[in-house]
Amino acid sequence: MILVTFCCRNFRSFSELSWDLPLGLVVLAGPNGAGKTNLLEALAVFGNLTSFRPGSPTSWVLHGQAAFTLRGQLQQGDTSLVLEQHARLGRTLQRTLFRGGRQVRAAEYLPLFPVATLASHDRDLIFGGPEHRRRLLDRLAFHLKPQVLDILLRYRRALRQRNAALARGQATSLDAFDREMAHLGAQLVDARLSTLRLLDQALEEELAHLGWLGAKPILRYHAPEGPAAHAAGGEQFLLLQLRRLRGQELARGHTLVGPHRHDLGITISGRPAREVLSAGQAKLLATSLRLASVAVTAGMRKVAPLVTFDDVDAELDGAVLSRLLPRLATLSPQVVVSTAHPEVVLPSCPEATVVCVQGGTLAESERSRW
Amino acid sequence: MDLRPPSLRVLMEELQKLPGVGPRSAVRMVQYLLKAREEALRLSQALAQAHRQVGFCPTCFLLAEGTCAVCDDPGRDKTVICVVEEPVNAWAIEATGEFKGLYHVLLGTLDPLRGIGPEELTVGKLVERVAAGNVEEVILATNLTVEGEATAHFLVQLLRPKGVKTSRIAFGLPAGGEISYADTVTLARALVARRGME
Repeated sequence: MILVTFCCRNFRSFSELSWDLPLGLVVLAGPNGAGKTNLLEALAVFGNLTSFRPGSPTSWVLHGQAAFTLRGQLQQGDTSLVLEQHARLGRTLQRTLFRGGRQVRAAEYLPLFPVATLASHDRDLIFGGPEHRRRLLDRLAFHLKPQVLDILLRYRRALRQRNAALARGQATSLDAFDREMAHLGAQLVDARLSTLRLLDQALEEELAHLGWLGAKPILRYHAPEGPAAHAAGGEQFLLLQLRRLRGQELARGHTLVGPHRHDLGITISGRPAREVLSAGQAKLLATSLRLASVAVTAGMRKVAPLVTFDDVDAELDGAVLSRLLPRLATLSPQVVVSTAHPEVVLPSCPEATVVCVQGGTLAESERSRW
Repeated sequence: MDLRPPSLRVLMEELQKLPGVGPRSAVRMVQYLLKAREEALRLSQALAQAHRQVGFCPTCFLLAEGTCAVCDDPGRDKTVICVVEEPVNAWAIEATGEFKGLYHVLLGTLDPLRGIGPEELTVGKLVERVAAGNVEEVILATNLTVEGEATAHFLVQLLRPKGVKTSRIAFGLPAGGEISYADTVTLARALVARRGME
């Protein structure tokens, strides 16, 4: 769906904002601290209920305020839909979600308007811990098959309960949670594997678009307990592993096997990508992974998500930018990128609309100004 | 300065301990009860009476005054026991009019995060009832939460060696519900648990 109008109140630095989004590529221009990232974050929270920035969700509320509201009018053909999100500050952030005025649960809200967020943190996909790569797979799996969210949440709950049983030495409860964990864990691994196959196919194309030089990165699902964890009969295998490691787990007080410890291995010529890539190459590969997940989502859903890219020119040279920006524009009908250096970015996207961000307000700007 | 008389302050504090009652709801309730004094008196008497007389059925742990109406009913099928988490779950099943067997209330689920293991539930009494003979089937009607499913798994492992049949209630679309309004999770489960139709 296309986001026609976006309104936010009391989000980060924006006390009141209403924005009629143009189609195509939009370049948010402004100096550091102008609010460009805050606006992209508002779009991410509106669509995904989560941010691409680290930190507590309580920091999303404008300082001195107790609540924020995000509201968007979506359009697809003749169909129009309003999504709305109210968040109130308590010990945690209490959120209520509305679809066309009707209150809905997160599981119903989340598939409606996914936002693909690219940012400088994306290099964590290469250099960071396995949780970053698992999150990439799990989010994509959810957009392809919404029930993955339920599987993931239930798996996490079963894991927490099992860890509590281990820490308290409640051996009698462990068998029951072993079965639940193995059952949900196997479903989660299945969903990740089918997602990975699609991601792997799409990655090759995105690397070619961005002008990747050298050997093709190889993506491989990695389970420390061995490849049987992601072969047929994975549920039974995981159950056996949980039983086998029971003694060690009781001693340590937490669960040592399962998809919460799996990884998406990325190698180049047989070596881990993090050991062979420079910062710029890692950014390029991470960006390609993100673009591949956008392409997969668009292919499966027939409508591409809104794509945002914070600080688009960071760590990427002019040649890559000149390939990246047109590629973004072909992947999605709505792309919003931010930059503090529009003079670097604009030559690569002659059709883009330039919006100037300053002091919590937006204004369309003449390209010639930059 | 707090203008509320001490007795009202205590009443409001006690009301706020009830689930779903916040400070504003407590004020509204107190305002109403002070105006409708007859009703307030009947409410306090009903509360005191319920507190005095209602306890758990010693056999099945339904809420009852002494033994429960289900255990006392000679017309119930004593070969089938439906296991639920809380008495309210049994009330809902009984309201369907479809179930003619006996109940067993666990008074919770396995919940290690809250320190609840089998010993904190009425599992021992359930095993005793099954071991006493006569029971042919135990229907596990715990909720479809992680804890409810784990408790069902636990009971299956516990009861299977006793030679009793165990079954799990089905989950799917609500009656009268439209498929297009069902959430994806419910719909996916309904598809997995589909049944043959002649």
